Amino acid sequence: MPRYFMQLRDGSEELLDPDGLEYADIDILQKNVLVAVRELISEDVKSGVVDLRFRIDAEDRDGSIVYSLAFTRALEIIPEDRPHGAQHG
Amino acid sequence: MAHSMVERDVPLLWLTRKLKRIGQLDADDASRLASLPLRIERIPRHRELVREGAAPEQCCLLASGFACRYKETETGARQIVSFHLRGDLLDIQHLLLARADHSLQTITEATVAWIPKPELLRLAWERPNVGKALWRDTLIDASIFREWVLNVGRRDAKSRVAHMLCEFVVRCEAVGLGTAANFEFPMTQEQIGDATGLTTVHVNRTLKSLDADGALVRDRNRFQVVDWKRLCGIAEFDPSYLHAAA
Repeated sequence: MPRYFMQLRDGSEELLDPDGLEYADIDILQKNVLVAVRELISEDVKSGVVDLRFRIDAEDRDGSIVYSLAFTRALEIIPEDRPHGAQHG
Repeated sequence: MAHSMVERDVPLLWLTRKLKRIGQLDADDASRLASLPLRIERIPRHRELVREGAAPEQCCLLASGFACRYKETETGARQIVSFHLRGDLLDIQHLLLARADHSLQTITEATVAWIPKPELLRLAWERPNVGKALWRDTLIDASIFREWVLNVGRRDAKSRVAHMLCEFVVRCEAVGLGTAANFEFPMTQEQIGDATGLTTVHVNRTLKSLDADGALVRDRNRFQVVDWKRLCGIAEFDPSYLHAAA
């Protein structure tokens, strides 16, 4: 199975994944990136400060980005003025 | 065959040391332990030792390297429920329970000694000191599991990872594997994540934060303790739940 590395980046900083993990296909990789981003955001929520400047770039062994997910795209925020029952998104 | 005799003695030496640490053994107890039959096997890292659902006929004693016990959800999400090191019996429960309710795996290259269940069971009945020490061992295991439930259920990511690392350090120290002052961990970020219920990216961010706090220092996939007191403080680590095991 191919190995991918989840690099956490914002405009200026990056936290590199030293080990990487193997994923059977890109679909499973994308699902895991989404889970990872949401988990990071949820820990931020518990601390009271949510930093949405980051993204996760999933890279293959050669360092090519095969998938990228910005924190802002990992969740939907429903504004307080939206009536219940209205369509999401 | 002096060489193979020495190799044979090592696993039981570690087991005897552990049982002496947590219980009381006299010279006869120790010599009976030392004469247990066993089969030694070198195992590569990340190799399964016992699969959930199996009916083991032998107990697995770890003589070198590291191993873990884990369970999985139906979709394959893994929770490591304990780490193990030399001298640990990984599945003593199979003396009295027929089916494995969880799996065992090495996390590094390891040496294990397989001991036939009936022989170990007979020793526990015939030598009450040994039986009592094995009983205490399972009780301490249970205490560690309770602490892990608290850890995964109630501590934030940073304290949770720090606590897991603190426990690992003091248990290693107790069997002469390294010192807290500059302890280097053998597990991957994935394994830390599986032990703490966190994604590897989250573990990575948490280790970075422990590094920024001055408790650990990291160099790519290697990380070690640089300020033990600080790490214990972040973890709220109190080793009393380990009883005599560390």
